Parts: sequence; structure tokens; C-alpha cells
Amino acid sequence: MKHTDKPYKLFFIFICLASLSPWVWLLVRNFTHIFPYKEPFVLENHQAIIHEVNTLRGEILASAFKPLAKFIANKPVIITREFSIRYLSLFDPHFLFIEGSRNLLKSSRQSGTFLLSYLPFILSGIYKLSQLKRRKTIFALAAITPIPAIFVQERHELISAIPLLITLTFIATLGALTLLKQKPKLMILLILLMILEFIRFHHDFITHYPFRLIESKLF
Amino acid sequence: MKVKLFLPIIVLIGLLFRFIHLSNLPVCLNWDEVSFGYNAYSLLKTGRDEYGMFLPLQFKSVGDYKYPLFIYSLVPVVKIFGLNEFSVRFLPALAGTISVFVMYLIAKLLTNSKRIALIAAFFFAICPWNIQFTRGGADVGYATIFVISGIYLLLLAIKKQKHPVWASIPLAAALYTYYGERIFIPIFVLTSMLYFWKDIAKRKKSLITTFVFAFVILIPMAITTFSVGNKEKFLKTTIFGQIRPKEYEEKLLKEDNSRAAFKLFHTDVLEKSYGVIDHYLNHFSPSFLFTEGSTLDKRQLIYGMGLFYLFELPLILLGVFHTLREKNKYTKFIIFWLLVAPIPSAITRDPVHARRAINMVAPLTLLAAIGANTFLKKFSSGKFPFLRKSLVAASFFTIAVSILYYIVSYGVWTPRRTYKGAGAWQCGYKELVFVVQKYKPKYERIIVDTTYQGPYLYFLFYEQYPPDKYQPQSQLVLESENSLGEGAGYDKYIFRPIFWPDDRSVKNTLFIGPEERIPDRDIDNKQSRIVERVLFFTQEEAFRIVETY
Repeated sequence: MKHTDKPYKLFFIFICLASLSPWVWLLVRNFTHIFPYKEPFVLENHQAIIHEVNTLRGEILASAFKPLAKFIANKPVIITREFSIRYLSLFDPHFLFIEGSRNLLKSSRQSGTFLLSYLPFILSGIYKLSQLKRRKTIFALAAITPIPAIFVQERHELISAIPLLITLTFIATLGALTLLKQKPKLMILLILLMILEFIRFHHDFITHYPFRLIESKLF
Repeated sequence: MKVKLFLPIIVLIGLLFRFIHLSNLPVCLNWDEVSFGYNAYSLLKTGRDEYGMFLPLQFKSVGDYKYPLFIYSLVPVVKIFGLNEFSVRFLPALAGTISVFVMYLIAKLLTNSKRIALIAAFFFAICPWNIQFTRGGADVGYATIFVISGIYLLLLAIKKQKHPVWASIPLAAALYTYYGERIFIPIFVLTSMLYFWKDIAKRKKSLITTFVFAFVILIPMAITTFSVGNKEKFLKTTIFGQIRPKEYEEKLLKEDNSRAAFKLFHTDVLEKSYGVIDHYLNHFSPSFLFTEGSTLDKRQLIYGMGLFYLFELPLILLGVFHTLREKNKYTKFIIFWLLVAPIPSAITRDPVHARRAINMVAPLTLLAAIGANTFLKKFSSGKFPFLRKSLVAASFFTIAVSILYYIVSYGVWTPRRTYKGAGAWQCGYKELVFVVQKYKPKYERIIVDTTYQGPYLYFLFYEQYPPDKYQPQSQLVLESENSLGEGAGYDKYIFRPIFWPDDRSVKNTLFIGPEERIPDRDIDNKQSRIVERVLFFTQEEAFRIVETY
């Protein structure tokens, strides 16, 4: 991003992208059902982790790798694995662009947390950032913001992932701004796609989503 | 860099990773492997496949119409080593080992760096994804060597002005080996030509020669491509053959309350397009690549990890950034390769599929090698030497632990989670065939349940039943349009689902099936009794052999 970019442009695109994001619509619609926030956490001594360590260690002990049992199957290794799974799953394209959170209150299950048409913006934003000198702050933000979500038991939990979603919206904003300047024709096409996709999401959100909610018996 | 010293060591590592305990890891042969083996045996003995087709160009097998090259290549191997687990897995494992060397050549050609090439070869040698399919992947593992050799020769033709006709030979071989390559290779070759158009436009004559040559060697393939079997296979495998359930459409229509809205928002084409994009993107999911792998298919699973090591994630990211910032079109070609590779898998019904997307392995490995080289350059010299060296040492320690973790997972944890059932490694059949031999002379009929799929193949394989005797008896039974088939039976064997409430009244017969088909509570001692139980290696019951009287 050059210094000549007007901050209001950035702000305007950011607000546009955020307000068209399915996750924002879901959050607003189901706010009263989601809050107060009561999601259980996964901690170091979680029973499932202890059980996993014991099972895996037992299996090694019964094999030719016996001396490695404690070195390979221990709490730090399994916790690292468990938290890596949770951390990286937040970057899954399926979660971000296709289906969103697994909880029907936090996703319509027919759209991702973002519209699929944000993907080119995010990629363009990452490409732009890779060429900037002061890229480290944004990349550090993208790396740090998923951390709260890894401690929540529910995979792809929306509320704890909000910091990441905001960072990604910001990266998409940078990408959109870059495309607007460098490839205006492509940008028009992408905006058209985005509008069409939003209409599709909105149709589902208004027409089919309420039926899914009723069928899920969440209330 | 001492290439002459390091490269043989790396290839040796690749060889060890692919050949140690090859016969029993993966823990059992799956029905595809058994089918490849028996058809090669049948060709060896009679020149015909299991259905008696003389030197076929596609093998009907269980109705999935397997491609020919792997089976024909197995014939001499079966002749030398006999019909067993090792001979079926030998060629893919050998191909995987040779691929390590080819990987070195590709990396050197694309990056002009011996160090990157050595790192790439090392990462490829220990790559869980490649090992998974070169140990127990049969045709797909075998096809990989042709694909990467073909791509190497193609790049050599473009960069070093060699004749492109040489590239067409291994690429054509890949087309005769594995289904997915029939989608990947044409797309890859055509788009690569566009990518390098400026370089190849001047060499129209050699291009035309290559196309004519490729056309000639692909004529036999063209004949089978439009056969009924291939059409069936295409429709059964891809998303294009998928039909939406009527109830689903009716529900949407009812909720929409308007046909116009239904047609606007829920067309089949729109939903399938989303499906294809979804499947495509899933192949770039960090969970799939680095932490969980392909959890839907047990034959693709490495328990507790992805298809690449977690330590490769930052290296790949670093490699991507480095590649994007470089102006070298050959290095950027790696990204292009990576983007094309998942296409064959994206158009199939499975959300993500490691086997069909195996062509992602090479570009991802190359990116990891470029990333590792960037990392080493940055951290091996400069200020704070102790800190920098400690970081590099810690990285090497992480790599060592990761490899150890993979070995334990592959050798200990994964077999215990993937041995049972039709979608897994289908264990239990080998033991069953050996146990049944002692009962075989005493009974007129032996009925084997087909819940775990493909028992007839295992009986043929482990009994080494003479193909000339089986061919006249061969008959494929399809339970439904979308399912694969089962051999109906031979000699005393009948292969079909057991329905015990009816079957228990059939007298003087030996029934073989899992507990869920012949439950304890329904075995009445006046009518029948369990004569033996066949156990999995975990000591859990696999099959029960029940006689009726």
C-alpha cells in the first residue's frame, strides 16, 4: 500500500466487505442465542488428551519401538499436535469460504464465513503484502489472531475466531484496493460476482436457513 | 556441495523408506492390489485377464476397469518373485525410489541450485504422501515416476532446447497407468504450452512431430477411453455423474415457494460448480496437508499427521513468498504446477483425495526446498552467530523428531486404525483363506459374505487358483448401479451377502462372515455351530466359520 492511499478508501472497502460477510449476518441474527458466551475450553489436562497419550504410548510399548514410547507419545507432543490441528483448521478454505462454522447458530452451512468471491481479494492482499517492506505486522497479526480459538473445544468456533476474521477482512481490503488500481476490469467482474454471491447467500439466509434452524431443534 | 556423496545417500534413504517391511506395511493388501496381482498372474499363465480377455487394454476387474500398464509391468515381477505381497508392491516402491533422483534433476533444472535440488530430493525421499502411495498405492505410485520424468523431459525441451518427443513417452505411459493422469496430463501439457508459449512458438516443427508421435502411441488408449466401461467409471467417479435426490429438490422447491427462485439459486450446474471449487480448495487446506490428512479414506490415512510434515509448512510458505518475488519464470512454474495438480481430484465426488491429487507432491516439495534454502541462507551467517546456529540446530532436531513420529505412526498407530473393513486395508482375508483350506474338502458349498468387499479376489490370489480354470467360471455381480461388483464364485465358493435368518436353514454348508452377519444369538446349536474364528492381528474376531447341518 502506498502512502498516497486515502485511509477513507481503505475504511470504506473494509466496511463494505465486512458488512457483506455471512459471519456478520449470522452473528447479528443470532446474537441473543450465542451470548452469553459459554463455550467450554480445551486445556492441558483435558481427559481426551490424557486418554490419547495413554493409548498411543501403550501401542508403542507393545511394538518394536518400545524405547521411544515416552519420547514420542507424551503430553507436550500430543498437545502440540492437538493445538496445531485446531490452529491450522481455522485457515481451512472450507471453513472460510464454503461452509463456515459447524454450529448452525454461527453459520448458515451454505456459505462460508466469507463469500467465496473474497478469495481473490485475500490472495491479492497476501501477494501485495509479500512485496511490502512493512508486511511483518499484518502477517504477525494473521498468525496470532487464531490463538484464542484453539483453546475452545468446538472446532471452527466463530466468536473466538473473530480477531482472525477481522485480520483477513483487512487483508482482503488491501487486495481489493490493489486490484482496483491495477486491474480495474477484473475488479468489476469480481464485484459483480460478489454481488451475485451475496444475493444467493441472502436468499438462503432468508428462505432456507430458518427451516434448517427449526429442523436442527437448537431452540 | 558434494552431490556425488549426498545424492546416493538420499536415494538410499528413499529406498529404505519404501522397501523396509514392504510386504506387511501397509498391513494387508487391499482388493485393488490383489486384483492387480491376480490379473498379472492370469496374464502370465494364459495371456488373458480374469474374464478370459486376450491381452486387454483395460481390465474389468471388479467393474472399475483398471488401466493396463501397471498390470503388464507386474507380469515379469510375478514370474520372478511369485504371486505375493512383495511382488505386487515392488514396482511402485522401486518407482518411488527412482523418483527421488528425478526430483533432484527437476529441482536443479528449475532453480539452477544444487543445494535446493539436494534438499528437494531429501524431502521427497522422506515425503509421507509419496511413501503412502509408493508402498501401498499400486498403480498411482507407479504412475508418479512417469509423470515427473515426463515433466522433467518437457522442461528440458523448453529450457535446454531438447526434442520434446522424449517427454511424450513417459507421459503417455502415465496415461496408460492411472485414471487421474488422463485428466491431469492433457490439462497440464496444454496449459504449460501456453505458459511457455514464447519459448516454444519458434519450434513448431518439433512440436508437430511430437504431437504426431503422441497421437500414434495414444491410439490404443483412445479406443478404450470411449468404451462403455470407461464411461461408467467416469460417471461413477466424477461429480458429473452425481444425481441430486428427488426429495432434496422437492424440499428446496417447497421452501422457495417459487419455481423461478428455485431455478435461479439451486440449479444443478451452480451446485456442482460450488462443489468443484470446494473440492479444489480442500486440497490446499492446512488440515489436509499438515495435520490430519485424508481422514475420509483409511487407506490414505497416516494417523496423527498430514501428508506432509508439519515442519514443512513454514518452509512451503517461505518458498511461495520467495518464488513470487523472483522474476524467474521457471521457478514460478512450480506455483503453476501446484495449481493445476488438484484438478483431477476436484472434479470427483470425494471432498478431498490424496491419491488423485498426488501430483501436488512434487511442486510442494520443491517449494519446501526453496523455503529451506532461503531459511538456511538467512540464518547460517550474520549477527548473533550462536543464536542463529542454535536456531538451525533446533530446526534439524525438529525435523528428526518429526521423521521419528512419522515412522512410529506409520508402523504402529496407523495399522491399528486402518486394518478393518472395505474402505480400509481389508485385513483378515489372508488368514481366512489359509484356514478355509482345511474345511474345503468336507463341504459341498462354501458361502462367503461380501460385506468387506472383494473376497473372491483374495481367494483367487492366496489360493493361486489356476486362471485357466477360473476364466470360464468368472462372473461379475453388481448389487446396484453405483456399486462395484463382486465375483459370483468358483468351484465350491459362492460370494454373496449372507442373510442369516434365511441362510441358516440351508443345510450342509459352510458359511463365512463377520459377526454382524452371523450374530451369536442367532446361532442355534440344533441347526448350526461355529467351527472356527479367524482373528485380526489385534486378536479381535474378523470372520467366523459356521457350519450348518
